[in-house]
Amino acid sequence: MKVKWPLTWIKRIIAPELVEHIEGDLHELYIDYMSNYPGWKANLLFYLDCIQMLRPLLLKPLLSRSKFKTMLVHNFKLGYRNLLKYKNYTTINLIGLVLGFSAAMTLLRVVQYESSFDQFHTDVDQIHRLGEYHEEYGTYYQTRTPASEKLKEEIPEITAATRIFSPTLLWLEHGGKMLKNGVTYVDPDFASMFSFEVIEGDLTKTLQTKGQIAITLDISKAYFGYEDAIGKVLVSADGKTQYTIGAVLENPPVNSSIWYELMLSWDHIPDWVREAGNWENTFMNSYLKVQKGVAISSLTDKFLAVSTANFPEDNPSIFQTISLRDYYRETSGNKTTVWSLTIIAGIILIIAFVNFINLLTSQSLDRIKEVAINKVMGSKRAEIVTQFSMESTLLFLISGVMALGISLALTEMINRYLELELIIDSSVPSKLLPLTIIISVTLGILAGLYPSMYLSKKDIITSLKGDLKKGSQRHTIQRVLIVLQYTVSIVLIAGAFLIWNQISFMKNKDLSLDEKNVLIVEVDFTSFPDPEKSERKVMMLKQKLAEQSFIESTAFAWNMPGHYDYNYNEFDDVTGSAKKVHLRQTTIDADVVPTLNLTIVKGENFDPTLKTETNVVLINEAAFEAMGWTDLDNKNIQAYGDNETYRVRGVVKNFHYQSVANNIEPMIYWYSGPDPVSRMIYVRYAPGEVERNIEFLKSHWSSVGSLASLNYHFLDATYDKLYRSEERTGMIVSTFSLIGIFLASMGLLALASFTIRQKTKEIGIRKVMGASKMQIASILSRKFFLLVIIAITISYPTIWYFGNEYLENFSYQITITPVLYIISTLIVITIGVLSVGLRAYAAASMDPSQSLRDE
Amino acid sequence: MKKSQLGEFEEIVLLTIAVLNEDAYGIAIKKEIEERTERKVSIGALQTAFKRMEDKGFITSRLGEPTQKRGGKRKRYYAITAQGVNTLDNIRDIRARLWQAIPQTILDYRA
Repeated sequence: MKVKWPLTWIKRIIAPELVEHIEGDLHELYIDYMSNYPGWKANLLFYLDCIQMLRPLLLKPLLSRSKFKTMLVHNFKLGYRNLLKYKNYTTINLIGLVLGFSAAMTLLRVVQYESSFDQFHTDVDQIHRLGEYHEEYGTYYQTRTPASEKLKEEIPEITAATRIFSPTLLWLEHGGKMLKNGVTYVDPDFASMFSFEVIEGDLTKTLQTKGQIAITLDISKAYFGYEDAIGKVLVSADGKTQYTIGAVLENPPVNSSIWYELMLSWDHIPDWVREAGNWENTFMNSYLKVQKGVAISSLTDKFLAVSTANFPEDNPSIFQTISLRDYYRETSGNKTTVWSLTIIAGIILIIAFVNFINLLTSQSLDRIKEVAINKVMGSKRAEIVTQFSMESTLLFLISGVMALGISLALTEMINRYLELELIIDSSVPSKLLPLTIIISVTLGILAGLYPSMYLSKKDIITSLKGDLKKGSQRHTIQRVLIVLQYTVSIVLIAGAFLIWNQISFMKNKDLSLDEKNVLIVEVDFTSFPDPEKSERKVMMLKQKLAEQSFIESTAFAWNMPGHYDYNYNEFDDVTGSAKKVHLRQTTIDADVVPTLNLTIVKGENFDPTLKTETNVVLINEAAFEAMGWTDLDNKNIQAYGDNETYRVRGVVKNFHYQSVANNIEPMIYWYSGPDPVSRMIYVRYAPGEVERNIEFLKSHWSSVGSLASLNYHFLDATYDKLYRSEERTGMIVSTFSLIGIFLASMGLLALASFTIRQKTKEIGIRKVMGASKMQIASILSRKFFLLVIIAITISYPTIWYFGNEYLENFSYQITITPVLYIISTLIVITIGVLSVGLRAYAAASMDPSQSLRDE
Repeated sequence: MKKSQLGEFEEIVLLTIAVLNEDAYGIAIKKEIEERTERKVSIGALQTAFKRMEDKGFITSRLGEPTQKRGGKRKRYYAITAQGVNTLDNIRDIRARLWQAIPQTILDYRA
């Protein structure tokens, strides 16, 4: 018979009393198959029959049931007692494990949260966000407003399409309650594309009916408490428009990249969006849904046809799509963070695990006699291994569950540190618990294997004598692991220092503008019931401010520095070479330059006394260079899509209008004219007059008549906030470098104690021969310092490589100085001395008469 | 009596063992059931059923003689025990009583 091998397996694993006839049956069946079917089919049927035999009832039991149970209970009891007996070890082990586990678990929860974005939509694989690819500017996930509609029309495979646009906040009133909330305009397909939950009403119908609005549960509660919201009417602030509530939606999940509060159909879109929403301008968020089973890549040609037919010739680009499944990951900017967190979590888990093995091995010396006696009494090696595995499994289980508790308890703090919204509802522990238990048990069993194998292998007689020397000189694995741990720790410490240095460098860098003592008041013009009067009132407020003795100057601008819009345009040099330059744009008045203490390096600032000269602009030095100019004589520019010509009146010295991590890009400042009113009032107050300034603003804000309360920012604080994400990274790296170095030191200490105890006699003899404590201590710790030094040697190039890689992210960066290496080395050596040196010194102080005794 | 519980498949296997009487061994039982019920029977399921029913005491077994076709392995012949017969009896009674209790109108549904 050809196919013997499955039968040999069957023989091995089937219960002995069943083997013979089962084998016979299989054989007989096979012969039948052979006569009925071609060879391969017979073989296949035979294999299937063999696989069918793998049933618990028919298999050889691993251990007989009752015996297994008794052993489990017995081992558990013993394990529990041992853990209590060696309290010190148990505590140290627990601390290490719990620390490592909670850190890893927390990190993995963050990773899990980040990767859960948008995955809850049923049709997530069919939904794509529409973007464009431009030769010069690369890929961006916005497109022209009519694009999604047109694509749905032209390409039959696209079954649904919607734009999602949330340009403003909307004041709406019901029953005397006036509230401001974000409004999102969508196409009717929105209802069928996404899996957002509708609590009440009919979203599809709401989005098809003009005058109907959908609101989220939070908003419904804010207006109506627990009353039914459907059919109620919300009235706009000017009383002119009424919206009937047609649907109440569940609040969008925190892990949704699509966000909404109030939802209106596209029919309600404000006029300015309608006007700007042509094939020229790229600012729309659009989503497409393709037929099930159709790969979007197969539609490339059809997309291309639509873009060629519709995009203006002088403003070309091609469509680019990204699956909703990937959209958040690719665009949130957290991709590398998520990756590095996963890696850090893995490293920490490994370090904690390795540490545990190291500790357990050194602890096992205490139990060498116990094991020997067990063996004398007839324990099999497997039983000893099981016993140890049981103990470590117990420890792992306890620490796993504790770590889960800690990680959940710290959720609030993690959320605040990392600006996340991890959720703890009652389902989270029940989801994580089984996983935690499975991982703990697996790791526990694995961790118990090494030390127990090592112990149970030993010769009984030497063990009973308590002689530890034999066969214990080789700790190659442990050494390698410790070098690894230390390397990682040094790199993390250096990394933490590097990040904080870079942050403080960026925060302290001269921005070329005076950000101190400037307060910026945000005026939200949509919050005025009467927009016409509001401008005059805001003007008056600014004038009043300017009159105060404690206020040095005031200005109007569209944005505040640090938060300029991503608003770019193409500019032509009309007079000179027709060179096209890409400039970022914002609008300021004549007072901004003096208020922010900006320097004009060429030409002049805007002059409000020249009432007729309004077609003027300022540019920064970067833009001046980009234009390729050498002087400002008669320089005029023209913007794409605008026929007016503007004279460049002055060049502003480059100042950091965004994070120092970024380059200072070419910038153009439009002039808001001699009598401007704009969204931001800059107020420069005299140093030390903050309170009076705010006091004054608060008492006069009501005179403006806005529905919104006073909203102001300190300019220096807004700049500091730009470094939040770097500070976040710094925080994470610092925390984990601490955990890492702590765990590594524990491992080093464990190994040191282990060797020192093996050398008790050597120490005694050396002392008798007249060696000093210091000499002995240095002999004992020499080897460990060697390990630390190896780790340092490995870490230096690593630090250099990753440090430079990290600094690449910043346009203005610090350089890696020797100080960085010295500091991290010093920290590690200090900790090494503390953990090993003290232990060695203690060993050297032992009384030789004690250490030389041999019974 | 919890012990005398029989699954539907086990019941069929037990009945087949009774039918085959002297010749009841694995393959024969498999073929018999397949012929009578017109459904495929997996040999693994069959072996489990044997083991289970033997543990419950419904059947006993003895080893037969080796044959060439079986690669020199012996057959295990199964035979129904008194307890097995009683249980089958019991099941039939319960079913018969249930059948009798069905109103005539329901039985008229039969096509």
